[in-house]
Amino acid sequence: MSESRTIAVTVLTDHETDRGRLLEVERGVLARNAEIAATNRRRFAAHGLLVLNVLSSPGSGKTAFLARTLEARRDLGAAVIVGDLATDNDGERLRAGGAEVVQINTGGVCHLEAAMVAGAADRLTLQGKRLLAIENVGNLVCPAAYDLGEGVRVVLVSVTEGEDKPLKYPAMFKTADVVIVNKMDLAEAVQLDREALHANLAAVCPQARVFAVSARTGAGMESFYAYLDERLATGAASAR
Amino acid sequence: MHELGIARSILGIALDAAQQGNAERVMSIGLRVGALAGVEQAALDLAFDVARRGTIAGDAELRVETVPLRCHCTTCDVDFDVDDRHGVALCPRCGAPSGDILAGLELEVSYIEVV
Repeated sequence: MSESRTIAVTVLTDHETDRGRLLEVERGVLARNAEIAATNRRRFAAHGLLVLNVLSSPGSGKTAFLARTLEARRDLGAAVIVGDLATDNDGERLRAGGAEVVQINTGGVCHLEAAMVAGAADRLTLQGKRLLAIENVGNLVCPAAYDLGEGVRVVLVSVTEGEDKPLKYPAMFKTADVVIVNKMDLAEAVQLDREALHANLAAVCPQARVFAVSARTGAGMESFYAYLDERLATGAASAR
Repeated sequence: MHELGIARSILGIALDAAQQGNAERVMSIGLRVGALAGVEQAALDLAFDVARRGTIAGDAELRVETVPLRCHCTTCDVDFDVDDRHGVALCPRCGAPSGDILAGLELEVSYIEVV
């Protein structure tokens, strides 16, 4: 911190001669969001909830992926906060697994913020649930900057999007805890270069656990469910 | 595209600080922006130009200090700056990629210059 401050002052003296006085501010532009996210995180931890922030481009299969997970893991008693529902059908698919679903009417904004999640959580019964999935707005840029209070940041990329997707959106992939490579049932049809995709993921986000799945057929999903169990068992479910 | 929201937030922070400092006018706002903060400079400038109108920061300029991505290699226990726009952070010692981010996500108002 002190190092950075020196840099700021140096920049100023380089450019400035005789104008105003300098007031040190040192405040994060998204500090308010970070404070609310921290409150969310404490609240979710108090309920022993594992919280997923699910992110991707539009059409990568977030809803299908969550619907499949919720149906297979009814035992977790899940709740879902959805940033954008394309159709009523999506809501039905998510509710099919017994999950409680609330929608945030985003009114066209490009990302969810912690305060929206706090408001949506007020409308849910968190007591007795183990999993809270937050389906973010389909966008690989803006949502990366907003902590929601999640424990696990899950980024989806489908095989139809090209092997270089992680290189194009480093902010999103570099902060991912989990990467889901979805639509593996289409891998052959789109001539996916698996090695290239996995090499790019390993280069940009070596910290992320990668699961290649088909949300449509269910292939590969078991490994992801095992990961959820692993995270729930560690007890530090909401710590990021 | 959330730069208008970001610009309003920057302005709010600057105006609060200016008021606390009994300032009449804000001449400039110093920002620290990480390489991976996800902010488009041109879009931010445009949004800020709109947001600042009619305030005591109406002529204020944004002075952006870019903070490079900085990562840590756990194997070598080395911290290093990353100069790759794709965020590929290779340890200068062992060459292994790192996802352990030390800096580069900042989005902060560091100072304001006022009269």
